[in-house]
Amino acid sequence: MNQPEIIGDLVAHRAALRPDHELIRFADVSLTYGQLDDRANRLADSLTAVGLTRESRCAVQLPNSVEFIIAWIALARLGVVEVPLSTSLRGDLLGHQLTTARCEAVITTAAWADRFHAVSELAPTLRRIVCVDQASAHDGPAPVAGPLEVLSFSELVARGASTPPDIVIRPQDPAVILFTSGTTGPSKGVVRSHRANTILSTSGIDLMGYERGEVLFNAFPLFHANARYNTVLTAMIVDGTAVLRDKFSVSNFWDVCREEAVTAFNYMGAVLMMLNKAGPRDNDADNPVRRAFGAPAPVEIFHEFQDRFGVKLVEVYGSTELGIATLNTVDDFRLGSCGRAADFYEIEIHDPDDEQCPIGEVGEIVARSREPFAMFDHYADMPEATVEAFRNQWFHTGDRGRMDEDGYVFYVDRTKDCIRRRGENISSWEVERSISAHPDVAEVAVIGVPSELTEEEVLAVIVLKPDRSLEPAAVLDHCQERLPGFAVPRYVRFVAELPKTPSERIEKYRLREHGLTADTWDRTEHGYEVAR
Amino acid sequence: MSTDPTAVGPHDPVSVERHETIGHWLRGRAEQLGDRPLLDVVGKHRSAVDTYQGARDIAAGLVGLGLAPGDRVAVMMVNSASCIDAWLGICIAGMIEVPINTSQRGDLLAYLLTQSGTRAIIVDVALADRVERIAADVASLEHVVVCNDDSPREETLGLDLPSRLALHPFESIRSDAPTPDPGIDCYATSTVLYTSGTTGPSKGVVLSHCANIYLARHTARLMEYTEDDVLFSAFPLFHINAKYTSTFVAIEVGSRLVLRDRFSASGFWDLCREEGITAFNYQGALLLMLYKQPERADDRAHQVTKAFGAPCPVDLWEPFEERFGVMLNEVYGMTEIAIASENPKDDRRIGSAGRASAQFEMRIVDENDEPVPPRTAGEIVVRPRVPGVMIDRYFDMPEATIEAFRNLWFHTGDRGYLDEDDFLWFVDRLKDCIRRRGENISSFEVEKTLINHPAVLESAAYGVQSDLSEEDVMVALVLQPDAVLDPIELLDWCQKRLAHFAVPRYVRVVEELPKTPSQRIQKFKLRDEGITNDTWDRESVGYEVRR
Repeated sequence: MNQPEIIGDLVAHRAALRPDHELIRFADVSLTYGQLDDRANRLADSLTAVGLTRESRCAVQLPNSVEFIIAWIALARLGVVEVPLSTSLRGDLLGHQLTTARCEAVITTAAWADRFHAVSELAPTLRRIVCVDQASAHDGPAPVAGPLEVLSFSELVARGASTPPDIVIRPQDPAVILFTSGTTGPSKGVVRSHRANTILSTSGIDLMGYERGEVLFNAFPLFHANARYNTVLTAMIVDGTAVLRDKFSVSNFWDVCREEAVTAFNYMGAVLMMLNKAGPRDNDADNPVRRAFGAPAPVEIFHEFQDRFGVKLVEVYGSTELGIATLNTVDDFRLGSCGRAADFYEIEIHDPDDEQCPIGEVGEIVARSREPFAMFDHYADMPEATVEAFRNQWFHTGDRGRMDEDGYVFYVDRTKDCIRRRGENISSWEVERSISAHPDVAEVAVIGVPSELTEEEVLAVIVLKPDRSLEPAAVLDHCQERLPGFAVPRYVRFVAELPKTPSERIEKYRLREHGLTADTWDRTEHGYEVAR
Repeated sequence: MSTDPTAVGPHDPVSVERHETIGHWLRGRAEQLGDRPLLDVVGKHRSAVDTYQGARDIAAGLVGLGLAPGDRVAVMMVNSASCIDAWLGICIAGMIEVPINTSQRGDLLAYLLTQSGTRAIIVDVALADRVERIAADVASLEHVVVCNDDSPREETLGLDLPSRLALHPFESIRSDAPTPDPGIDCYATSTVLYTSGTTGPSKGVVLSHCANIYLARHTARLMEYTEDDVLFSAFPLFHINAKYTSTFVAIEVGSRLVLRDRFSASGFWDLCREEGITAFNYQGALLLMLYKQPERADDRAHQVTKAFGAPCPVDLWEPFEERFGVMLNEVYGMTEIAIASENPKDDRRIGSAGRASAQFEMRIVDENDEPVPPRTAGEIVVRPRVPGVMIDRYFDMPEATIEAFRNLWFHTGDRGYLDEDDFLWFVDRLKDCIRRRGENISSFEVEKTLINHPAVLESAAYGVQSDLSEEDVMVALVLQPDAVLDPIELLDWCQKRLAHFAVPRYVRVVEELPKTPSQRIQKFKLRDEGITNDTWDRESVGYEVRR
């Protein structure tokens, strides 16, 4: 494709050709290339005036909204590294990510400004908050005053000049830091270049066989790679449209697809399960959707889903670090596998010595790119963790899998101590650290237990201090103050002691074997609600 | 993927098993080779059994000092049987050897010991004063073991060491106590070998037991050595060459090794005839020094048939082979990557560094890390196909490690190109370091020293063509206002602070240094100007640098 490789240039290129084309459509608002180009330039100009320059870092904590897209393009044009943060992040974890990424500013909503004031001491590099005061999705209260300077997003856009910044961005320049859950330590910031993002997008396009004008649906958050590089950037590259929502609604999903003429959507396992559970309707197959992209589709409903809705499922294996590393194309497909190595990736299965495992044997999935700057560069401010992940010149994914004689990769599970819930990786370590901070808790182990929807739910197994008592709901209240909503445990179990090795390591595998015991408390049964 | 047909190199790959630590391997070789003569280390004759026993006793002694597996123990010794005992003893004990160039002194020596967190150093008595002078600055150092082969068990010197340091004669630490199993496998670190920094301080190359044994097997396979070969080297045991491509090769193959502590070009062929030498290692200017000897009727009257090393100047290659009847096996490598390409005897291209070795991948890339077409020069990058055969990381320098391994290729800092058949042709170095007679000299470290001289305002150190091969060290200096410089005084000053080989040969005083708009010194301009009329040459005044 003879078009710019860098996102900021691509938007300008499209805006010059088709200024009125709607790139983004939300339920109640849309964004044309002309609007995006102009507002991004204005915002960029104003951000320059407040001191953001090439390679400074700016956090973005916004719900899915046009402002998120405008902020993304403005920062990309300045060469400022964008640090999208989970919308549920607050407290210590927020402070950790802001500090690790050395963020100087954050673009957020007025409603969340107080989160940043509250961590200003934890994040000494943070200077100012840019507040979206009339976000399309969230009309919040006026931003509160606090230790950080507060600026208005709409004023910055109104005040800035519309001329594009005079900055040349190279494909290998860092574009974004996306946080991924730590395993034995805190969350890691994955530094990705513009080129890596573009390659992730184009490999998705090749794989899905997308054509010009495709209409792509995505309800995943814009702080993850999926919505960013496999829907929004994809829509830009194929000159199509991205239909975005802030959450996934099973009940009206197919109606939205019909109204918006959606040709493809992105899924994860739980979405397919939920759609398949809905009662059959006569018009199930009467929809414009041709394909869906994601992982992992539960094997048991794979064919049923495709037949019922007339949608081809395309399965991949990837991560924030790698992008798409293996793929099952429509023509080259093995059920239950995540497909074969993408053209520009080498994939092997390694034993703990980093020797290649024999065919069919389970080991760690390792990967490396044949092209430069096609995968992540390094973990922000964590050189030791980077060196460890890159040992013997392979990226060690922390996932276990096996490879068959034809090179198809079958995902098995995580070697890392983290929990996978509805597309989010949750660090056991971080949840444990939060629960341990409770004055009545002596010890805690956090594990994943199978979810009825695919993937896992979070279980906290707690030992209390002598003579203390604690209600499970009180544990969750405590977690809600410290953790993102998705990491708050669903299950709580109190025990007298945790199973341990002679060297005092907790034997989590034994807890997993015990699973959901009769004395395990389930927040769903008790109607406990976790705020998003 | 490993099913890739290009994975098969010019020779089948060798391998190292997980349980093969150096200790395990040495014991096995001693059982196999027994008491027959194996190493002639500067006149001391050692069998494989002697070698294992000598090292084992040192291992037990180090454990007796309270040192533990993983601890760093430095060795600063000239080639000797004791040096081999020290090195291999550290390996058997599962400790990590930090070999120190015997020319080191002053700040840089203190830096190397500190950066590596060295707890003990084993040093020749002749070099002990260098350690004495900096010992107070090395907080991690606890033991100084002094080796005096002339007076082995005597406390011959009154070294003035801080009281927290314990002083031991080398022979007194030998112990026949059993050595505990260090509980390591072949992927454990055996050595941290320092290599000159380029834009920063020296970096410690972390190598594993596996990498060391692999390099020995690789060399033995490439050179097709057998028990009947007699090897020669006079390279120092603080570099990988003498360690793994000579000493370890002899132990692995059972071929005799004649190891000397200095090289004599005039006496070389006579020594070969006396000792029945069949092969030798070369590097730097060694081949040229031999070739410059007057021709003799008996130039081919010896048993030497092959030599191993790099780099051989292209116009010397065939004349050398013809005159001496020796086949040159040219490779490309460095501490970090061992032998990454090679010219095996049945598949070689004169002037090239051969093709990528089995278990190594090699590419030429541009400044954006994109591969370039054949015959286009770019940076040589390398990576292994199997674990444990090259550098693990730079010791305690994760940022430098990530930089060197960007895009998961090791960036050599050398420029070269591949021809249509994937033979590597070396062009020059990208890195800002100077290559003099087999030593890499960091410009950064020379400049850092010069800048502390009271008369010097700014300095640039760079390599200029040497009449021997490789380079000599030249410095261009801007003086402090109204300062005058006596070059002899400057060199005296440098000698106290720099390894002898890093002391500049050429000194030039300039009004200002050529710079880019961003104020980076344009060394290429200085190199292009070369040895100008106003350049002072220490050889022209007969200035001698002491070793």
